[in-house]
Amino acid sequence: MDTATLIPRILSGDSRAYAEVVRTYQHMVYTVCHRVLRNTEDAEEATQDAFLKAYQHLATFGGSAKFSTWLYSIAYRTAISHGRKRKLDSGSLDELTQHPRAEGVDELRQNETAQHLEKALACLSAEDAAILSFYHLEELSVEEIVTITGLGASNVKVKLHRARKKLLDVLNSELGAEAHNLLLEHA
Amino acid sequence: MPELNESDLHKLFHAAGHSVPHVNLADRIMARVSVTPMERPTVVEALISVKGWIAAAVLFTFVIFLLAVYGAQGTGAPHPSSTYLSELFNRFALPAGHWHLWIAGIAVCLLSLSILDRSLERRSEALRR
Repeated sequence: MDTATLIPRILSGDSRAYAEVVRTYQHMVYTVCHRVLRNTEDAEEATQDAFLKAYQHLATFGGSAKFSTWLYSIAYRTAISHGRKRKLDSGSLDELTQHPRAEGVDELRQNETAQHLEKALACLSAEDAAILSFYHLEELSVEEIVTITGLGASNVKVKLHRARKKLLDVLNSELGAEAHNLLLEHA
Repeated sequence: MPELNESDLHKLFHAAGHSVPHVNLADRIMARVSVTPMERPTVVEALISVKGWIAAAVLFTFVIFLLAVYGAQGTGAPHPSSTYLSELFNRFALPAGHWHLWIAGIAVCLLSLSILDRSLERRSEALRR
């Protein structure tokens, strides 16, 4: 169901409507938190906090931006705040390799691709990793990323350019040949 | 070995997809949401509405207009029934005569102030509820 039709229901006290919003956006929000915090436990806690904040302040959502942008903004700031509190900016790579068990061949390959990409993203700052995910995975515009992060448009463009370059350097040079070939297959 | 380029990144991010949380994350979120009250923004209403201010301004201008017009005309012979008031106003160098207009103006002012006072009291009571 469209989020625009769910919001009035949530505001009138229908918690099932919010459960639907949570189900729809949990992967997006969790990905943002995970890219920033690089730790499953902290990312899940930040995701919970982000959804809680969004629920508490839903009445202030004016509709001038997309709901997803508004929610991303809360998730990003919550994750950054969690990261600052726990000083987890340099997350451990061991955590990054934890993924749900894949069942099929395609899932296994997707899982491996995700692991390699996350290992490479771990070489970037949390902010850069999140910005790259916003741009390439969620396909958000620079203007939307500006709204979410609170950075200037030129700053976002520069960060995107540098982060892409650094990520490519890592993917092309630091990963093993096997991982590199797997990524090339997907690309 | 061929190298990945910028256009490959987009496909790679999509191939990797979203990070996957534990299956019960949504339930845990909803468990916390169910015990959390939603914050409602405080609505601050003006005690006197725009229409109220306009009505008060029109009334005030009307009363001033009456006083200006009839007060100036009232410099002539005083009304026989208001000699005492004329003397009193003369003592304070105020325009004399046409006391019925003065009294009407004061009555209108008092009435409008009373109405304003009552409406403010009712609105503040409604806001408190």
